[in-house]
Amino acid sequence: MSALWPVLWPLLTATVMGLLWRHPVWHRWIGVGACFAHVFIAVHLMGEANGRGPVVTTLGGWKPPFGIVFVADRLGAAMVLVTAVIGFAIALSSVRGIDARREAFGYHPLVQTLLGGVCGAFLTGDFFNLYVWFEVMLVSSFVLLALGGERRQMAGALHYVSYNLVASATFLIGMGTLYGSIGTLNMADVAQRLPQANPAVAAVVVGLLTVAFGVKAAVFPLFTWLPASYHTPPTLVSALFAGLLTKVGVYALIRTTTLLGPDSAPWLPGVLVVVAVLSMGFGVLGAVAQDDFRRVLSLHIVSQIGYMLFGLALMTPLALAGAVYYVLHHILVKTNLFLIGGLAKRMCGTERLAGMGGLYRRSPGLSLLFLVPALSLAGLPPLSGFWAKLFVVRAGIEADAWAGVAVALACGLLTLFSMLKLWNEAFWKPAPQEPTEPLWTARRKWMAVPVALLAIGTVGFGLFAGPLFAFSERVAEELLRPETYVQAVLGGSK
Amino acid sequence: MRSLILSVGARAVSPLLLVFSFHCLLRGHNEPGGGFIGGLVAGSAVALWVLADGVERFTVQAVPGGEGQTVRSGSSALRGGMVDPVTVMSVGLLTMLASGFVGLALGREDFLTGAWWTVNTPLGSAKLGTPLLFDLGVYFVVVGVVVAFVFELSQEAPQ
Repeated sequence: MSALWPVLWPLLTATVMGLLWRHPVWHRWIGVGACFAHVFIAVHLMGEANGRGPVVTTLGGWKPPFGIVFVADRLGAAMVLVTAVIGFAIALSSVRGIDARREAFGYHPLVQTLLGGVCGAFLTGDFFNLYVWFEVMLVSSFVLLALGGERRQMAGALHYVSYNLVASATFLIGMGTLYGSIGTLNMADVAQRLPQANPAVAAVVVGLLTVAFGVKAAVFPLFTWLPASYHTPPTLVSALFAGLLTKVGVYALIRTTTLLGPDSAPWLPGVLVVVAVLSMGFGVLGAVAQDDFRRVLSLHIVSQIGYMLFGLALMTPLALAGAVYYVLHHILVKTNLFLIGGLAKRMCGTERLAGMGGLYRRSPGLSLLFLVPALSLAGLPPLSGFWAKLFVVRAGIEADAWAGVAVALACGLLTLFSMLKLWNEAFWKPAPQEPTEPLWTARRKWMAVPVALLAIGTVGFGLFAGPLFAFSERVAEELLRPETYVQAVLGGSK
Repeated sequence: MRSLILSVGARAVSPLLLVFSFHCLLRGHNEPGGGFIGGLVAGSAVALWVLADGVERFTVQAVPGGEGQTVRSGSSALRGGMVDPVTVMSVGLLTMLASGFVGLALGREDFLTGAWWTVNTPLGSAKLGTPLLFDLGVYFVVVGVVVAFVFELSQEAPQ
């Protein structure tokens, strides 16, 4: 199968929705159907990439390094699969969860183009093309963020847009330098040629790329756009962003670090360790200080990204496998928490923790659904977050990175603390005023379906940690031998 | 305020612009031009028309509180028989995607691989290929976008 299908499919869906522009109600079901099919496409690609090695597609038949290639190795295919699952959950929620006005302005097609952009970023094997998919993703996300035009949405979008534009410019400057010095932008070709280039130029290129991807991944100290914007749009949009967008940055960091890092920038892991530790710490401290449901969750993203980067920075097989497992687990859990946040907001009429409460007494079911991802995020066994943290921390101990391990464990405790804070405030304590309307309307019941599906996914991720970790180890093995990737892309031409 | 001179002039110039836009589209393969430029020129023909005669030529004023108006995306209802700019854009996108699949369907290497045919006409032979189809798609997308912008921007602001 062509590695291009997971990218083309959402874009095709968006186009079909465009033809039916005046019938937004149809968009809902087209979206659900298309996302369902997308999952199968992703599973199929995953099977091929896992069984026979990287699937390489050359656009227009132009051979690399001249043409643009799409490469689905295990990491790319796994990311696409999780993206498709999240897309399906969001599409399902969107059937009842978004207001008519936003639908009329193209909410559903925008979600599809966003998914297309994210999948494109995961699969492309060309730096400039990566930039293009970043832009596809960002333009869709700009509009999704501002759609509806509420005052605080505009304030959030302003932070988001300006910060991300600077990051895009940095990325572009980095690529200009890269192309000017070695004359190629194909990732595999760059991996081969950059070590022979002037070391100073290589350092500049890798540095600029790292900063650009660092902004997208929201690492310390480049994360400030995230808590400023993620709590402003409708919850479904927040959930989509929280699950996928920062992880595209993390993916790009993993890709460049493993492909270019060892030969061209030996200093990079050292920098990443410091950044990772600071992100873990500052993210979680920020989260503890917040008193708004979604703001707490947004700042936890920053902290969790720190764990992933810690695994990446150690660069041992175990650490990388842990980082990959962490990314996959985190996408499911974080999206789910935001979706639950949205339901809780509808039920309590506010997102401020002081005004929430009483949800446990009124709906034990939802409380249980909240506890699964919340405790998973905090790292309680046997849920997926426990294994993710265990792998990363163990890799840290093996690599004698004691400071990092200490911070990771302390942040785990603080994460548990702030999840319990959410629990106490929103679910456990009595409601500040006795609610009058019924809790479970038809719409809310519908929106609980994807939440339940993702929760089952999280539990499965924890129960089948063994096979999934074995898979992550194979991903790490592939990442640590970039020759495989280079060989698959360039074939016999070198 | 309407200008009679501009109105009459637009009537003469707009068709010329449309023909010229098609010329741009066709020469684009080897010389400056192409779908993007052609689409912009065609869009400017419509823009000129709107400037000269007002957008009422193309749209029906939105009735405040009228059916569907409150949730509809900005542009008010188009006059009967007019094609929605968003439809034009979508058709363009579909054309672009289709041009990619032609090569694939013919068993060429991959998505977007070009396929060429020679067409013999009494005036001489011409080579037609999927890149032209792709360019045609771009043309439609750009026309759709420009026309949508022009229509939106020339609406009265809602009270």
